Amino acid sequence: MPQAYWAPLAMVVSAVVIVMVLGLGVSVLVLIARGKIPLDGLISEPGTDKASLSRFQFLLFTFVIGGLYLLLCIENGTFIEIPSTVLGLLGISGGSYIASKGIQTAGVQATANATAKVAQAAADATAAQAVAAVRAPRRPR
Amino acid sequence: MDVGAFSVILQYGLLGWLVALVLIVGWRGRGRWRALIRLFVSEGFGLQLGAADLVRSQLGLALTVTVAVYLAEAVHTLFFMHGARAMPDLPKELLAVFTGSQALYLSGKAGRSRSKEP
Repeated sequence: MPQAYWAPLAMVVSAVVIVMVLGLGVSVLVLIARGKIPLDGLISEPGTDKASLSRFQFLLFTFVIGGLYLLLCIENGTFIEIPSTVLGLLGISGGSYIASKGIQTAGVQATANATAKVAQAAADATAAQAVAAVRAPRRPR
Repeated sequence: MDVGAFSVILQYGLLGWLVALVLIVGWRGRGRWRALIRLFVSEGFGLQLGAADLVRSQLGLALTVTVAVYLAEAVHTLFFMHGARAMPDLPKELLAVFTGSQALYLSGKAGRSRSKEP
C-alpha cells in the first residue's frame, strides 16, 4: 500500500530532476553557441594566438575519458569502475597544466620585477645626474 | 512509464548533450584551431623563432600515441566486450613514458622561461 503512494512521487521527482539537469545542459550549450561563454582560453592563453599544449591535452583527455565513461555507464546501466592508470593519466594531464601555468606566471613575474629594477636604476641615475648638475661649481665668466 | 524510463531519458540526454557540446565547441572555436598548427614550433627563446621545437614535438608524439592506444582500447571495449564493468586500462609502460614526456616538456618550459628573463 505505501508503494502506491510513493510511486507517483518518485515519478514527479524523477521528471523534475531530468528537466533541471537537461535544462541546465541546454542553457550552457545555448550560451556557448551565442558567444556568451567565451572560448578564448580553450586551447590558447588569453590574449595570444599560440596554442598551449597543456591546455590542449587536458581538453582532449577530458572529452575522451568523459565520453567513454558516459557511454559505458549507459551500456551497463550502472556506474563503472575507473582503473588507477586512467585516473593517473587525468591527474598527470591536469598537474602538467597547473605546473605549466605556474612556470608561465613565475616567468611573467620575474620579467616584471626585472623591468621594474631597470626602470628604478634609470630613475636613480637621472636623479643623481640632476643633483650633480646642481652641485657642480659654476664657471666664472 | 516507470522511473527506469526516466533514467534512460537522462542517460541518452546526457550523451546527446556531450555530442552537442563537442560540436558546438568545435564550431565556436573554429578560428582558434589554426593555432594548433604552430603548436610544435619554438617561441624564440633560446631557439630560432619558428624552428621545430624538439621538446614540444616529443610531447605531441607521446600525446598522440597515448590517445591512439586508449581510443583503440575503448573501441575494443565498446564493440567486443559487451557488459564491461570497468573502463579500459592503459598499459603502465605507456603511462610511464607519458609521465616522462610531461616532465621533459615542463623542464624545457622552465628552462626557456629562465632564458627569457632579461
